[in-house]
This record gives sequence, structure tokens and C-alpha cells, in this order.
Amino acid sequence: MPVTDKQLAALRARLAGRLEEHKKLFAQLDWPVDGEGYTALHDAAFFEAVDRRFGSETSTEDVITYVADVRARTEHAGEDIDPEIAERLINKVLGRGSAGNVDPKAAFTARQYLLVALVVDAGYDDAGLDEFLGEARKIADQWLS
Amino acid sequence: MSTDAPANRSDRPVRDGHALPAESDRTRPLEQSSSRQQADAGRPQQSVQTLNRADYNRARHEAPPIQRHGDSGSRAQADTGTRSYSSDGGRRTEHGQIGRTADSPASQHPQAETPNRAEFNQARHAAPPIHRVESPPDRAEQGSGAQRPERASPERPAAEDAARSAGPDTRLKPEATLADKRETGSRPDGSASEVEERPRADFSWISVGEADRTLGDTNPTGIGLKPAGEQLLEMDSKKSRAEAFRDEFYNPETIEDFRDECEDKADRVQQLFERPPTSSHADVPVHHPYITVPEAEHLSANELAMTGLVVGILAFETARTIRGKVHELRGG
Repeated sequence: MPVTDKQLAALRARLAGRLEEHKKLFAQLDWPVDGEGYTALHDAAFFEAVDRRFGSETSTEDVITYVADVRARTEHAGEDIDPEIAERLINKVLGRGSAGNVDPKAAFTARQYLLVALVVDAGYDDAGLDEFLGEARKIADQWLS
Repeated sequence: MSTDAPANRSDRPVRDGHALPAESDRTRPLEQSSSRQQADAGRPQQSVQTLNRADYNRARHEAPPIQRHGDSGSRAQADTGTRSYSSDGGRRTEHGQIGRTADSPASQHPQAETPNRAEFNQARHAAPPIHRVESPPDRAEQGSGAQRPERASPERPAAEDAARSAGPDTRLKPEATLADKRETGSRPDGSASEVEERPRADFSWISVGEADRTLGDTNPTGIGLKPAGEQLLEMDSKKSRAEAFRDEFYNPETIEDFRDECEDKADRVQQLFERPPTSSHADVPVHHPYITVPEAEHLSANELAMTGLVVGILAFETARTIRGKVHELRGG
């Protein structure tokens, strides 16, 4: 089942910084039905954001520096993000190493923070955000097909 | 040369006491006669020839030569006697009939129907030639009918783009293009101009089907090229990385945990929008290098005066010492 517009709208509100709208749309999702599509879209967006932010020549030091930077932005980010898991997630997207045997909840949390941080850093406008989510939707649809 | 010219001129028609140029001379292209005038400019000319040339020019002004086919320059096409359009665009206006030939019926009475140069120029200014969008190909290419790669044209009509996107193996025939491109325009003053756009008989391209298009190319006007090796490698790499990422993190059993995490951390994650990146810094462009070369120190007036005084005192003391020594040596 491909990604639906409702799932896309919920994630778009999340990445646009509209918290109340995101909460409202997220609550409207029928999770047994929409859960798989939403998580696929979220992970695809994370993959696309990392792929755009980091190139193939990105060094491990750059990844470590970025994770440290995100953790230092807010007090909660420093508490919630496991730096090792976050670095392994990014390196996995870049095709390095493995991120297996990690705590799923910690990995969820790291992906949430990193995705929002990457989108904030990219500075997308509405059109740019739509284009970004369009690419993410393509990846998610491939995963779900 | 000088002996043949009067004999030939005796056979020419005479009007108003002046010999008119022969038919072949009247239909001679303008550039050809002008080039001959330039070629004759440096030669010593006889008086008889000079008078005949003047007579010729006068007669020519009274009865200008017949205009050739406007842009085609092809006598073979002009001799057809019909208003055919050449591949590079003959045109027709209501003011001037360009393309009339010596073989056409109208050419039998050139003084009565052929417009003179002034009328022709006036008509041409009133209906300027249409700008061509694309240059015509070589005649060899037209004759061969070989399929050439399509050319990007910013002014490509939408109808052509629609035809290209119609489906695989759709080709626009030159005849179809020729029929479609004839249009009737209007001038700024509102009068109908009956200007036909130059037919594009040279269009032929290949419309590539979906199977041959670039991956991800959904544009109906896509160029339809397969990705190059590096592009293909990059796409495969990204796809495989995405699949590997999905395989490693997708677990249907943990979707409920994801929902809880999303709801719990929503407010905390939102704070990232309020805090800028700590490691970011603004690049300040500068227009000069930070390395500055120290300027050479110059002596001031005070330093110069002090230096002179010191040197003077030293010289005075040295001279006094030497003189004292000399006195001691002489006086014993």
C-alpha cells in the first residue's frame, strides 16, 4: 500500500515546524493501517535528508561533528540522542558499516531528531519541502511495493 | 571585347533613343552586375563603353531587372513557374510577389507588372520577413532523409511537444508540419497580411518511448537518453543503500513503539526549530586579504634633525681629537 496523502500531510506539518497541526494530523491516522506507510515515509525522508546533506566523501569526523552539533542544540536533544546510534544511522545511509543490534526505540528517537535537524539546516521553503518529500515518497513507495 | 560590344548592342531594343539591355542582362542578378562594376573599376575604359554603361544604367532605372526568387536562390525551383515553397522558406505577401520568374507569364510584360525597386522595398518594409526559429539543414541532409537527433529549441511549438509525448515511435512527418505551420497573421494596423510562416519541411526526430527514457524522467518533453555509466552507478548505489537501510531498520513489530516515540518526543523535537545550529557560522565576505603588508617606516623631521646633530657632534669631537694629537706630536 503506497504512502497516502494523510501520512504525507502529517509528516509535512512535522518538518514545517507546525507542531499543533502535526499533532492533529498524526492523531487522525489510523495507526494499524497508516502506521507502516508513515514509518516508511519517515525513514525514507531521513534517508533522503542524510543523502543530500552528506556526500560519499564525507568523513567519519564530519558525521561525529554533526551529531555532536545536533545534540548540543537543545538540552533534550543531548539527553535523548545516543551519539553512537545516531552516527551509525548516518553511516548506514552512506553505505558504511551496520546499524544492527541497536535499540529500536533509541534508533527511532535519533531518526526523529536528525531528520528535523537536517530539514532545518537545509532551509527548505514550501516548494523545496514539497520536492524533498516527493523524493522521500518515491523511496517509501518502492519500499512498500 | 571592345569590338564585340557595339555589334551586340545593335540587336538590342531601343527605347527613347537609348539601347535597352538584352533580356539576359535584365535578368542578371543585382549582385552579379555590381560585382562586375567593381571589377571594371580599375580597368582603363574606352569612351564608347562609358557612354554605353551610362545609357545602360539609365535604361535599367526605367526598366529594372526582374527580381529573382527572394531567398531561395535556386533557379531550378524558380523555373517551375509555380509558387512552390523551397525548403528554406519562400514567402508570399500581398504587396510584392517574390519568386516570379522569367518563365512565368507575368514576365512577358515586365514593364507593366513587375514592381520597380522602390515598390519592392516598400512592400518588403511593410511586410518584413518572418524570423526563422531554426536554421535549415544542408540540402544533403534533406535528401538523405536520415534521422537526426532532436534539437532543443526554446520556441518549439506546444503541438510538437504534445506530439512527441503521444507515445513511442511517434514521428512528425515533414508534410504534417508543413500543413500545420501555415498561419495567417495580421499587421499592427489591423489589415490582414496573409503572411505564411516559412514551412519547416526539414523537421524529423525520434520520439522515444517510456522504455528508453531516463529513469525518473516523467517530463513529456524528456530527451529520452539512457543514463550514463556513472549516473547509473550512482542510482544503483542509492537504491541499494536505501534497500539496505530499510531492511535493517524495518520491523513490523516495532511500529507501535514508533508511534509512542513520535507522540512523546514531539514537543522536544520541536525545539530544534527554535535553536540554530551551534557550529554554524556566517561567512563574511571580505574584499581584501587579511594579510596586510607593514608599511616601511619613514624618518620624521625630528629624527632627521637629531641624527644630523649627533653626526655633527661626533665629527667635531673627532676633528678636535685629531688636531690635539697632531699638536702633541709637533710640540713634542
